[in-house]
Amino acid sequence: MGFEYKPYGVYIKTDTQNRITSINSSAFLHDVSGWMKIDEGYGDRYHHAQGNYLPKPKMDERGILRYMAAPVAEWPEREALHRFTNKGVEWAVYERTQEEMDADYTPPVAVPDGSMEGLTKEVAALRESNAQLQEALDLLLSGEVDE
Amino acid sequence: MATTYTPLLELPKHDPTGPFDITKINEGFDLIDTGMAKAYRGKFVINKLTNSDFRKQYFIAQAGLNGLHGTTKYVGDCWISWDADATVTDEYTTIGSAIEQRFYMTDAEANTEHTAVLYMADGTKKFHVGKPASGFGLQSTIYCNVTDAAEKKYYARIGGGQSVKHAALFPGAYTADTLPEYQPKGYAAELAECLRYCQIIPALTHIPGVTNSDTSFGAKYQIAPMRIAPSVSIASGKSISIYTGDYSATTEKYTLQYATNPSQITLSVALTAGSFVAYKPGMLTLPVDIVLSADL
Repeated sequence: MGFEYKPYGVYIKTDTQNRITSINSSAFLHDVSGWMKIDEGYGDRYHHAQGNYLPKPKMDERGILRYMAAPVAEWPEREALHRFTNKGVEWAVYERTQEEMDADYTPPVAVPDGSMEGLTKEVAALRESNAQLQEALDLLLSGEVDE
Repeated sequence: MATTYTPLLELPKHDPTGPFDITKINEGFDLIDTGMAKAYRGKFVINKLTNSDFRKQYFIAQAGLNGLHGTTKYVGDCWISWDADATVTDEYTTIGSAIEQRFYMTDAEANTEHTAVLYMADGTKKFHVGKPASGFGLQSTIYCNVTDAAEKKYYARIGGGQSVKHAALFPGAYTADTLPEYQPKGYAAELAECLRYCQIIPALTHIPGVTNSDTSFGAKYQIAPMRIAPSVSIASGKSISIYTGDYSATTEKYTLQYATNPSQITLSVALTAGSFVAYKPGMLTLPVDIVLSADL
């Protein structure tokens, strides 16, 4: 059995909207089906591709994906970070705009304050409003019967 | 007067009453040269191979013997194994299929004579002398050649089927008489070298971090500085656990990203559904080893 020095391939994985979810080298991928090859070569850049192809982190601090891969013909005005050929068509890796990333973000729903302090405040407020309601009810229900 | 000799190196001593004898002086220098080479051999020689003590208690295999760094099988750290597994015993390792170590050399080093040596389990030594740039040795014993001249990357390959105790690559040309004995570098030095190429963060390590939003958790983990920013390899399809004091979950519904520099890795977890309270400290555990590879 011989040692074959094959070049390392650099692969990306995209979701249904062409946002890049992963990037890796063939040295670390057991199965490349479902991945797109974007480059190939010998050396550290291709062997340890994760840190060498996308200039910024894959996601922002909110967990929103920052990059996408698409045919060059669809984004002629956008700057291509890296070009490659996918099934005979020229594709490129692009950085998404802030608006596109914001559109993916769902702001968090306010979570009720479950701390003891929060509960104490809530109970005090409820007591207050309850007392006011009770007083109003008393006024409504009270009254003198005219003889 | 008969020639006398020194007691240790048997250097011929000049007769103080006799005529000046240049032959004896030169003979003395030749004997000093050989004698000192024999006396000091192996004491100051640098072995360029890493993790080359193949005895079980000294051999480093962070991913386990014949374990994986990514998709590549390694007998132990720095020794790539292509096919059949090696078996490691207390005294030696029996190589399955050939194993290979890669390293960088400058052009000047690669064009200098080196000696590649195998110290076999039965006590014999197999050695070859030559220049790595042009390749030397035997595929059936130990062989040294260039992998990529432009990258200045070379390899030493140990042939399959052998039972090996130690291996070495010494700068310089040695003979059977002057061949150095194996000098162990010591476990600490070997481990420090191996950590430059591969590190494992064991499964279920508690990695502290902080939530960034209701769906995002970030953690930074310090590592001993590696050769370059490593690639991160984590077996997929497993659940992760995150505990923040407010929220505890084991979930498969996440995306994980990692950024690395040679001394630190950053893990970011994005849940598919929001459950965190933002800006809370927490802890992440993964059910599998995290393999960091800066292998050549």
